[in-house]
Amino acid sequence: MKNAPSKYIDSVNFKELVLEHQNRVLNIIFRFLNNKEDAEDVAQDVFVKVYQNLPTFQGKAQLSTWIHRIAVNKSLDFRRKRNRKKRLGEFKQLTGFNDVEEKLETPEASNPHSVLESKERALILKRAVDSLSKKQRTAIILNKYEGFSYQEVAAIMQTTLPAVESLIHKGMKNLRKKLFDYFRITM
Amino acid sequence: MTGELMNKKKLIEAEVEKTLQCFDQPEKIESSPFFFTRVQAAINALEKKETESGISSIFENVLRPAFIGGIVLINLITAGFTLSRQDTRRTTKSQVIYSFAEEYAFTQNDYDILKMNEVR
Repeated sequence: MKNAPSKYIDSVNFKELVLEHQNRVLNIIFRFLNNKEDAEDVAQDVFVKVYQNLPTFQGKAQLSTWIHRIAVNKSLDFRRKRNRKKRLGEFKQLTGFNDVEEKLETPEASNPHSVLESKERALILKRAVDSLSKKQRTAIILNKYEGFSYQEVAAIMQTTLPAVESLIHKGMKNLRKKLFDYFRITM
Repeated sequence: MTGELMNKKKLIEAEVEKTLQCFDQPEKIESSPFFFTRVQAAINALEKKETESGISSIFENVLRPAFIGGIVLINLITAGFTLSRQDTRRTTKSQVIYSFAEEYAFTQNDYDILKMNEVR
């Protein structure tokens, strides 16, 4: 590592910066990917990008906001690539090009008469959040899971406060509907 | 029947609300203790790669044109040398004809005929 990656931070402080933000960044990414190993890999990429771009960071936004924005963008990129791979895999299976049998997601055994375990409930919610549109999902993850204020969400998503309010309002409405439909079938 | 449906709707709504409460206790994960070491290794690998690509770009931008220039220069020198040797050979032949004509006291006409039939 070279010395002094930026006027805002030197290489010694870069370690402190990583230690300070790593868990928050990791959790943001984990909300998008639902896989710890993938989240760690993407978090690593985030900090490499932070290190590379620190010299050009102009301080227009807070450093933490900037880092969280990189984390969100990297997560969305990773999801896009993963979904593309998944679709290609499905295509290969359909056309018989793929010899390797892909793991199929096994549906959770749900017993409508028993009280749902909190883990199972959390998983149902996660899946419902996952099925939202990209913008609604991002706003909900940042606000509801990670506890960022509307203002902070707007800064991370580089949008306006009313837009975030609308995204979260519509997102929650959609979530309720999706969950209602899910429980109507399973109960 | 309507009462039963109402009850079911209320039950479902209660389940929905209960599920939404999971937002309040999100599952948190911790990064591995070697996380920074991994980041550092990734940065070092990237910098090494950049240095290597820098060296190859020096080769591409400086050494390759210099090499091509050198080849062209060698070709020019060789061509120049060959042409100058041909001129010398021609001068030598003319001199031989001249001295031959002089020795045998050829007339100007004979000399011209010899010169015209000069083997190139």
